[in-house]
Amino acid sequence: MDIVMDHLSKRFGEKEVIKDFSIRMKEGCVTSIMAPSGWGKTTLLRILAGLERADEGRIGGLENKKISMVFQEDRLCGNLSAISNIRFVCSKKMPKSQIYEELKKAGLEGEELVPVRKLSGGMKRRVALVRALIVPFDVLILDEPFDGLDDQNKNRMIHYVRERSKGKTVILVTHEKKEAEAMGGEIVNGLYCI
Amino acid sequence: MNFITSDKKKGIKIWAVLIWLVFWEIIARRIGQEILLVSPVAVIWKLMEMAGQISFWLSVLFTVLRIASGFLAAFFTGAILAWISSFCPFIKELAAPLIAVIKAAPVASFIILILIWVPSRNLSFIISFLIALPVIYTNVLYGIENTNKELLEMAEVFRVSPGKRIWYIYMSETLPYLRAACSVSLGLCWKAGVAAEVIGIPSGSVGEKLYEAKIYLQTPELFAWTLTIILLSVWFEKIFLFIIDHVIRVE
Repeated sequence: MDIVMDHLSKRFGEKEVIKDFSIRMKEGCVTSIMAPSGWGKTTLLRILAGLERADEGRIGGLENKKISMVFQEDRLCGNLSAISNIRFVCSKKMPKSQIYEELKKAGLEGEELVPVRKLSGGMKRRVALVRALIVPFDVLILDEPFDGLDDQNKNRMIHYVRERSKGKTVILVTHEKKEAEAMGGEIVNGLYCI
Repeated sequence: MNFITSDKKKGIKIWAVLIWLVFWEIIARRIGQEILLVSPVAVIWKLMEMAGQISFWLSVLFTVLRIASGFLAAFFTGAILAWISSFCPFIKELAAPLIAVIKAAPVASFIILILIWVPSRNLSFIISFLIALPVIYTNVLYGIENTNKELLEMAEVFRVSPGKRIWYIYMSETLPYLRAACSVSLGLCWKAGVAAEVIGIPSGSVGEKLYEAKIYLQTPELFAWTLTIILLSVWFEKIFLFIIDHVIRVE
């Protein structure tokens, strides 16, 4: 089932962050939303993730869907290792070896047990990406997921995300056209009704 | 918000301790009267002599049991009360004046008041409890209230169970505050606990021995008991923090 946002509006106090926004995101496809800063992209994703409520409008197609997300910030527990951060969101049945394997694919071999606060910004970003992709999901929400990665790691992680999210609905927010193009699917520029 | 943190980097250097010991030895020799200032060597000898007597160990056991159990009672009470206060504003508001009074009231007032109510045998238990409670309560509550809201949102998106949220997010975020609170309050417990024993003079306590040393002007004993208290305080702190660091591990 496609995800439909119908005439959505959201304001914080006097400021209207999202105004009468409508979009249809095809099931099993990537939809990349590109817009400048302050447009309300993150607010839109927070509404999709159920962390904010829209003031007006309707969202359809998310019923009983499992959502996974990469936030704009890494949102990792700094005192915990990459393994522990990932185990935090996984079921107990997930074998440790699988987590090690996924971290290896993200180029984090040897860093699995290091407290996350000691990792570089790019490494933390990759841990956050692995965490989002290792859990079972129907809809993957990505809020500027490749920010802070160098070109080599960016390409590696784009490839990783595409591989792991095949056949799933992916909603990507980015300000880099190259990233949107590399992820494939539909690109939406700005807050326009489709 | 009033909370205390510790800094591991500010450790005591052995060379600094040695300089102060040499300085103490020189001053003691210059004065030449043991009753005024005993030398560090004499203190060590006296301590070794005392350690050979069973009464020494019985006094140590008496005081350790009471101060340690008072601290542990404060540890659990403070942590549980802080946890309840974090989601129940009524309990938080109810506890606030009580904690403020315990924090601000002079220890001597508590000691005298408690001596009216309970036998002096259990005085150091109650005093160490009262000293540690506000520090642990305040720090743990601060840690819980300052838990990263972004992590809680992340846990919500990933449908993480409440048990896991408590263990991984709240414990991981609060543990450094709890550790700092324990480090600070343990030292305070020993200071206040022994002071209470000196005032209450419970039979067979370290405080009683300190009091006797003062009465009979036994300066070497006074210093030896003081050194014993310092060592007990440091060891107890190290053991307890080791337990926090290695047993309560959020992994």
